[in-house]
Amino acid sequence: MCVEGIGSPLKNVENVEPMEESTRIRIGGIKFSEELAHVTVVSPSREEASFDDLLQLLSSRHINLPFLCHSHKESHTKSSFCISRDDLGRVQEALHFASYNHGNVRIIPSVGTLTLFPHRNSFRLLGLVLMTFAENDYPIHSLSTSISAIALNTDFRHLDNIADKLAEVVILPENHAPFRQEFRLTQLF
Amino acid sequence: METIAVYWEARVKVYSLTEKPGLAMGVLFFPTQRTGYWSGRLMELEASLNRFELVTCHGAEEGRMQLSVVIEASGRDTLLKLMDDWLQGEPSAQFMIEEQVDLVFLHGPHFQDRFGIADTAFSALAKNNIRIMLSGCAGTSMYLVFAGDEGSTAMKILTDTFLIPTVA
Repeated sequence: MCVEGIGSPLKNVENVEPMEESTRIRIGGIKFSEELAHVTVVSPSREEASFDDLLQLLSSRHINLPFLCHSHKESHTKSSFCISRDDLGRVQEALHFASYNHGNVRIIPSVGTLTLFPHRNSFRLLGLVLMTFAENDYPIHSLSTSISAIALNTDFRHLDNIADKLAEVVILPENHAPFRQEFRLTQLF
Repeated sequence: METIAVYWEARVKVYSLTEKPGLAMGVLFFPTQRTGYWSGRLMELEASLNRFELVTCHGAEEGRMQLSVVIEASGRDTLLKLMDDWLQGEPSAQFMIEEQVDLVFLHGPHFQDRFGIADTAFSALAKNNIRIMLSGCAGTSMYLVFAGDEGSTAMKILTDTFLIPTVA
């Protein structure tokens, strides 16, 4: 099982000029998750439980996945998901219980989900966000769009700096709420 | 301050469950260092494809990313042509397109705060041997992509699995 402290930085970026006010994109907001752990599991072998079985195991242990990205092609399956940092030990136990090979698991113990909304199904906004990450060497561990937002997982410690950089390419409302949620919801049983 | 609310449901409620059949899905594999280049190409797609239905991205093997884009089928040829051009200068990237895929998406209350939601959907589909090609779950949304001949079956299974409240 590979546990990493920092994701791989992004390099070799095309030069991008600072944006004019008129080319910045107006959005509704940005928010940060609490500190999470990021788990990626790949191509289970015959000895390992399937990802469906792993999900069942995590559910039976009341472990929430606030983010999931899953892809399957022929026999190759890759799944990335986020969990509360408090659940990391129990998830590692579940992976062990499901006989996941250490080489097929990658854990990043400190990530945050940056959610930017609305995306308006815009390739330009999505590209601009990814470009900002690449230009500033911020890692992208995973991302998914939802009905209205782009949710992107990066190193937790970079979230504030990333928001500063994104503010150079998007226009936030003047009365924007704090990026960090001031409450936490937990399902007990 | 801590507040506890008690809420119980026999079946997981969703706000809506929607199927979009007959879409195309492009999958791009590229070195992480080339994220800047491909971000620029994504921005260029705005002019020709107009909009995406779903985009996901996560690490492929070490140092590589997998970017999946689901679009209207009418944009397939345009995307293929653009990718042909762009890949000329990017030999370390690979691109493939799935011609016919179906997208099913659902939204539900506090999905991001509750355990077992993804398991509910994945288990129900697995029991019926329906393979999920791609999934992105973030916020209150769950997006699922299926091979084109399986979307309607998946939709039926999910409709039976989740509860969509109706007004009497």
